[in-house]
Amino acid sequence: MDANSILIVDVGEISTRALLFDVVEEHYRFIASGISPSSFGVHQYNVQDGVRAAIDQLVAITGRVFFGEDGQLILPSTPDGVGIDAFAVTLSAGPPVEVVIVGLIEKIDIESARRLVKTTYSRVMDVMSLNDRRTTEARLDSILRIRPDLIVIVGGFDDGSVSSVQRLAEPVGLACSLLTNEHRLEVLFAGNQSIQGEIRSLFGKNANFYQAPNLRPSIDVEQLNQAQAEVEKIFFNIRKRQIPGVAELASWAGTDSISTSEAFSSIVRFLSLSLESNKGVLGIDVGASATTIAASFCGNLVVSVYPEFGVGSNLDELLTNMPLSDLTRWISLDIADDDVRNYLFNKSLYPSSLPVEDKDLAIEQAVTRQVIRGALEKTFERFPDREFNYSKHHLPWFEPIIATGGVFTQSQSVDQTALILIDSLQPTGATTLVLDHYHLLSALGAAASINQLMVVHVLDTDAFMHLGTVISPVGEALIGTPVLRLQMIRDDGQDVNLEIKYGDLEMIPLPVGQKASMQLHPLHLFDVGMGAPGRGGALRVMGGELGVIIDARGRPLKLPDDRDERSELLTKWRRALAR
Amino acid sequence: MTSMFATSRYISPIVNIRRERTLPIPGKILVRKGQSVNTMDPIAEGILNPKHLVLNIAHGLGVSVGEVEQYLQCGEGVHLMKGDIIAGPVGRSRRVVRATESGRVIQITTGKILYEIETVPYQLKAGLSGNVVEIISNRGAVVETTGVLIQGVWGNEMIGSGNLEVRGDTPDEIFSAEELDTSLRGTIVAVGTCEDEQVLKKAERLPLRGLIFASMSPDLIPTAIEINLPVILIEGYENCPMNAAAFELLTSNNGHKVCINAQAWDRYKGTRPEIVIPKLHLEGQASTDEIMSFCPDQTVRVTRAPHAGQIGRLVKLIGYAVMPSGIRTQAAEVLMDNDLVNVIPLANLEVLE
Repeated sequence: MDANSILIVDVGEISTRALLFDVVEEHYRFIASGISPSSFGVHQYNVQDGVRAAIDQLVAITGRVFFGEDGQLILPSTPDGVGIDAFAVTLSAGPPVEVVIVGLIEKIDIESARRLVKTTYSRVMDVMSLNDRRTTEARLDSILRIRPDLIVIVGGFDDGSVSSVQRLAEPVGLACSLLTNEHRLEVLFAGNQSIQGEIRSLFGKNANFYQAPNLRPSIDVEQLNQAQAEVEKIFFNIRKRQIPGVAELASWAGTDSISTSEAFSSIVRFLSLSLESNKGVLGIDVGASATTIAASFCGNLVVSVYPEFGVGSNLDELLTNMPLSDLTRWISLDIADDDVRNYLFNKSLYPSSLPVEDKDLAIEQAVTRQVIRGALEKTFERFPDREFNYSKHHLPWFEPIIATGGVFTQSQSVDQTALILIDSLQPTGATTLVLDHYHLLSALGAAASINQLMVVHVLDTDAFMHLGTVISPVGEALIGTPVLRLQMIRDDGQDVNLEIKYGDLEMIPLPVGQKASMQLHPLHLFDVGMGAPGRGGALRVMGGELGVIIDARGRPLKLPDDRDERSELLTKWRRALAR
Repeated sequence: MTSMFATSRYISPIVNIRRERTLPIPGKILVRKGQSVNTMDPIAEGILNPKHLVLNIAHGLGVSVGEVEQYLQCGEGVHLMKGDIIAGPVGRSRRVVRATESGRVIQITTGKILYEIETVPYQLKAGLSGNVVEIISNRGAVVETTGVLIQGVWGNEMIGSGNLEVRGDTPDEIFSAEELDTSLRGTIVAVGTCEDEQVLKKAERLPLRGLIFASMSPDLIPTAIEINLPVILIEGYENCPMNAAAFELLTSNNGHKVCINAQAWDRYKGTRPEIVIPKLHLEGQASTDEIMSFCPDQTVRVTRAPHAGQIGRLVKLIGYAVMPSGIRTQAAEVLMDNDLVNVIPLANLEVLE
C-alpha cells in the first residue's frame, strides 16, 4: 500500500529541514516544513538534534505528533493520525568524500571515473594511471598518506587489458591490507568485468568491496548508472561513520536514505521523462556544501556536484577556481576588491550568517551568479554534443529550468532572484524559470521511491514559484538593432506589441494564473528556438511572478570593461525587472 | 515559534577544559594516566607518512618464488638495520639480498617482501598543560586543565606555549614588523590586526613562540601556514578589532604562561583553535559542550557587518524581522556596549560562554 503521509528530512551543511506531505481532499499535498540549523561537531552534538528541532517546528505548525513517548518516530501512523506512514532522509552535509582513482587511460576510463565521482559530494585526491611513473611503493605510500574515503578502480574494455588493471590495483590491495579495520577503505571496481573475481580476491576482507558494471565496456560506450548507485551506497556508509547521528537517522529511513544531489537529480530526470518535451530539463541547486547541476535530455541524466562552488565553509577556496574580477564584474555598488575578498573569507568562517547591508547582499548575489556560471561551464562538456545549438558556451534549449537553494529563498526579492538566474544561466530560446522556494525537489526525489503518485500530485500544485517565461533570442547584431517583434494577447483580451532591440531586457507583466498567446517574429536571423534561425511562431505562455521576460542582451552575455559603464548597465537591468 | 540553536564559543575567564588528543592512525602512547603534561610534550607517536619498499627476493637471489622461503633470514615484523641480510646466501657466489635502509618487514608474499623504511614518527603534542585523565588505546589521551579559554576562528595547525605579551592599548591596533624586537623573543604576542607579511616572517626569525591576532589579511594565509610558529585569529579576516571580552582576558593575563593550539576549526569534528591560560589552582565549571538555544540575557558576539566583532547582551527574541538588505529572518534585540539596542539576525550571533 502506498504511504499517505510522508516525512522527509534534508540535512544540509547549514540547515536541516523537515517536510511533510499528506493527502488532502484525495490529493497529495505539501503540508508544511520546519527548519533548524544543522547540528554536528561538538562532542554531544548529533545531526538528530537538528532533525528533532526541525520536526518540532513542524509539530508547532501542524499540531501533529510524530514521536512516541520513547522518543522514536511512530511509523506507520496510527488510525487517529499520530505518526507518519513513511520517512526518508536526504543528506548533503559533510566534507567532500576524498577519492583516489586508479585506471588505465586518462582520456577514457579515468575520465569516466571522474564523471562518476562527480555525481556526489567528492574531491579527487590522486589519480594512478598507466602514465603515472611512480613506483608501486610510491603509489602505496600515497594511498596510506591520503587515507581516502573511497578508491575507484576502473580500466580495460570488457574484451581488453587484464594484466595492466591488475598491476595498477596491486598497491591498492597492499594499502588495504596495511590499514587497520578503523581505516578500512571503500573500494569500488568498475572495470573489465572478466577480472572482477581476481580484483575482489585481491582485497579479501581488507576492504569494503563494491562492484559495478564496467564504466567503459568499449571505447564508445560509457555506462555510469549502476556504478552511480554503488557510489550512493558508499556515500551514505561513509557519512554514517563521519557524522554522529547519521547512522541512527538512516536506520529510521531504512533504504530511503539518499544524498541530496541524487534525490535532486532523480526528480529532474523524472520531470524530463514526464514532460515529454524535445528540450532538456535543467535543475540548479546552490547549496552551502556544493552547487549541483542536473540536466536531463529525454531521461538521459547529466549530473555534476561541485563542492568547490559551494557557498558555505568552502567559499575561501572560490578564488582558487576563478579570478576575483569574475565576481566583481557583477557588482554595481562601489565596493573595493579587498572588501570582496575579505567578505568571502569571513563568510567561509560563518557560512550561515546573513547579509544585513546592501553591500553584503550585492556581494552574495555576485557570488551566486558566479558559482552557477562556474559550475555550468564545467558541466557543458558533459552535455551531449547534439544538444548544443551554437557553441559549448551557449546553454542548450531547456524547458523548464528549476532552481533551488537557500541563497534564493532568504526573501531577497523575486525579481533579483530571476535576474541572478538569467544572468548566470543565460538561457536561450524560450524557457520557463521555476523557483523551488520550499526546497521540495530533493524531498520529492527521495519520496519517488516511496510513492510516485505523490510526486506527480505535488509537482502539479502551486508549491513551486513560477518566476516567469524567458525569451532569449540568439544571434549577433549591433546594440539597438531590432531583433524581435512580438505580440502577446492575454486570455482576458489585452494585447501587447513590442519591438525588441539587441541589448534590451524587458518585462511584460502576466500575473500568476493568467495565460497568453504570443507570436514571435525574430529579425536578422535571430533564433528563438522555433526550429531555425529567423524562424518565428506561436507560443503559449503561463503567467508568473515576473510575467514574460525578453532578454535580448546577447549570448554569451558581455559586460563592459569600464567600471562606471558596467555599474550603470547592471543598475539598468535590475530596474528593468523591478516590480 | 520554537527556539533556535545557537552557535557558541568559549571566551571564558575560568573553565574546566578536557581535550581528547588522538592520532589519526594507531600509534604508541607515550604518557600514563595521572601524568602532568606541558603543551609541547608528546603524548603519542605514529607513522603518518610511511615509506615502503617492495623487494623482489626471488629475483634478487635468482631463485624461484617457491624457493624463497628457505633462504629468508627474517620473518614478518622483524626490524632490520641498513645492510642486514634479508635473504640468502644462495649458490657459490653466496648471493644475498640486504636491507638498503633500516626498517621493518611488513609482509612476505609470493617471493616478495614489503618493507617499511624507518622514518621519524609524528609526535602528537599535548596541546595544553594539564593532567592526563584518560588513555585512549593506541590513539592518544584526554588532557584536563582549568584556566582561561579563548576559542578562535582560524589557526595554522601548529602548537606552542610561552609567556603572553599583549601589544597595543586598544583591540584594534594594526601591528607592524618594527614593533617586534628581541625583547619579545620566546613569547607569544597578542595584537590587533596583521596586514604585513613581514610581521609573520620577523616573528619566525626572532623567534616568537606564537602569534594571536584579532584579524589578518587573507593574503597572508599562505605565509602564516608556512612559518614555524602557531598563529591564531580570534575574529576573522580584514581589519576587525578584537572583541572586548577576549582583549580584556588577554590583557589581564599579560605575562602569564599561555598554551595555543592553532588547530583548524572543523565543524564536523567540533575542534576549534584555542588559547588556554592554565589556572590549575582555581576551580572552573566544566565546559558543557551541550547544544544551546538563544535566550535573553546571553552574552553574544556579532559575527558579521554591521557591528561585526562587537559584544552585547541579548535582550529579546523578536521573531522574524526584515533587514535593510531585504532579507527576512529570525532576529533578536541586542544591547551593545555603547548602550544602543540593535536588531541582529540570530544567524549572525554566537553565544559566548
